[in-house]
Amino acid sequence: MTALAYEQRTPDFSAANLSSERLFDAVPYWITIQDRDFRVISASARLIADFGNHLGEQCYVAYKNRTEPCSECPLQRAFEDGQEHASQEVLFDARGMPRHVLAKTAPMRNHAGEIAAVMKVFVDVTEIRALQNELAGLGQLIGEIAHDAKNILDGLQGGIYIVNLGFDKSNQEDIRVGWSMIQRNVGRLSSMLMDMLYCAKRRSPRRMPVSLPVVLREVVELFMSRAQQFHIDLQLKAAEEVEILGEPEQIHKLISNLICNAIDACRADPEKQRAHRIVAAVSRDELDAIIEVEDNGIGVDTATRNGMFTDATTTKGSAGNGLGLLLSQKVASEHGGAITVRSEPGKGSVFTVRLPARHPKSVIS
Amino acid sequence: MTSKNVLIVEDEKDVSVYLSRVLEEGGFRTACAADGEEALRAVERERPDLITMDLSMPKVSGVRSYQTLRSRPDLASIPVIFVTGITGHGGARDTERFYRTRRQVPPPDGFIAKPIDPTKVLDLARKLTSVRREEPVSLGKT
Repeated sequence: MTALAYEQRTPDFSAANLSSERLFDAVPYWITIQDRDFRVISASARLIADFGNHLGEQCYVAYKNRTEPCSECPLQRAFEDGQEHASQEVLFDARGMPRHVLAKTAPMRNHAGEIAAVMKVFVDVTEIRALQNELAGLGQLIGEIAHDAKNILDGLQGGIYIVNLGFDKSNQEDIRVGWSMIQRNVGRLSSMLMDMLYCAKRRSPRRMPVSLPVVLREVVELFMSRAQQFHIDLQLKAAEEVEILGEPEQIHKLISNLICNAIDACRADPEKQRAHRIVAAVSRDELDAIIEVEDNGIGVDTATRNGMFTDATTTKGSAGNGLGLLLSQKVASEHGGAITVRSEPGKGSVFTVRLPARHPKSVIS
Repeated sequence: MTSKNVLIVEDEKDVSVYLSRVLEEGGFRTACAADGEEALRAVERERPDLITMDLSMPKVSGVRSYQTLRSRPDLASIPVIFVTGITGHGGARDTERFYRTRRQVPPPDGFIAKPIDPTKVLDLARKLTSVRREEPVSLGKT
């Protein structure tokens, strides 16, 4: 039994045994005591363990990578009016990771009743924030799907309406047009439901050898006529054999989504005069197989880029429900990899998929 | 009597075909535009008697295109119907209330909620092309 636990169980336990310093370090919160110049006079053991030892430094430099104090500083306000204040802040821990916190400040007075320091207590709400973002993303996804479903429903109703006109007027052409609308929208509905089911299901992919140049070539050939239809130069770069272990159908779907998005990004570009180009490439480094799909289409801003793989992001009006990128990210992560994106409005985007490569030796064997 | 001309601005081709056939069966002539940019060129070319405008479109949204139309004195009097799938159980009334309370967007002449009801579309189109109304007309789901 530890000394502290023993003291807690002992009837004659005295406050003297449990010094304020020990209490300060035992509290499972991040706590600082700071002076009027924002300098950290003291910090709890938990804070030092997670953020490093920054005693003597200004809090905004140590925990926020700033060069000047924050505009709404609860510490400063506590010094000014002697009251408690609260704020929501983002700190950066010793690994540089952002930590969302609820902070509360309280003035500490000396024997003369003057405010000598201010205590700041932080509660880590990073996981709660992540959950809130996920929930918000889920709500947005449901909205986008409902919107897409209404368009499909209109396509179906339109098809039925035109088929009925065809029957009423014995017009074979109307029946043909209406029936093809029905078929197309049943196909869209089926594809949307399959994507939703895939996104909702936790699964481990089969592990069979997949040649990425072969899959990439198939997808590029599949989209070639569509790209040409919109005067987009779709290029393939796959000089070397690169294999992974996984499901070829899912990798096919992942690459299809990226190329389909790239075509849409070129089509949505308001600069009609620009010669649009998409380069789909596969390569490898020491560890990873790398698939890159680069376009010089419309590009996206930072906010859209940051939400791409967590929300049902779409910039295509009713042409997309945002499921494609969520699904692509899921396929990549189930194969032990990830997707990243670089993008700039008006210049284009590069989507990079990194997947664990199958070692060349095992390819030979 | 010369039939009235309706411009359908809609990026979903099947929805555009559907609306077009409904209106043509009701005696209207139709032209289609797939996005806001194309819509403006088509309005200048066709000088339609009525425009149905989808709100959710790539490039230039329906609301932006509508604002452009309303800012042009030569085009501002053409009645515009918003077509939207962004409605809940309140149907088009939710959207109507939303846009009527937004000061930066003058209220359009009518609203249609998706999924589209052919009878309501025709009733609204006939009302707006016969007499210009002072107040917006809503014929969405109630």
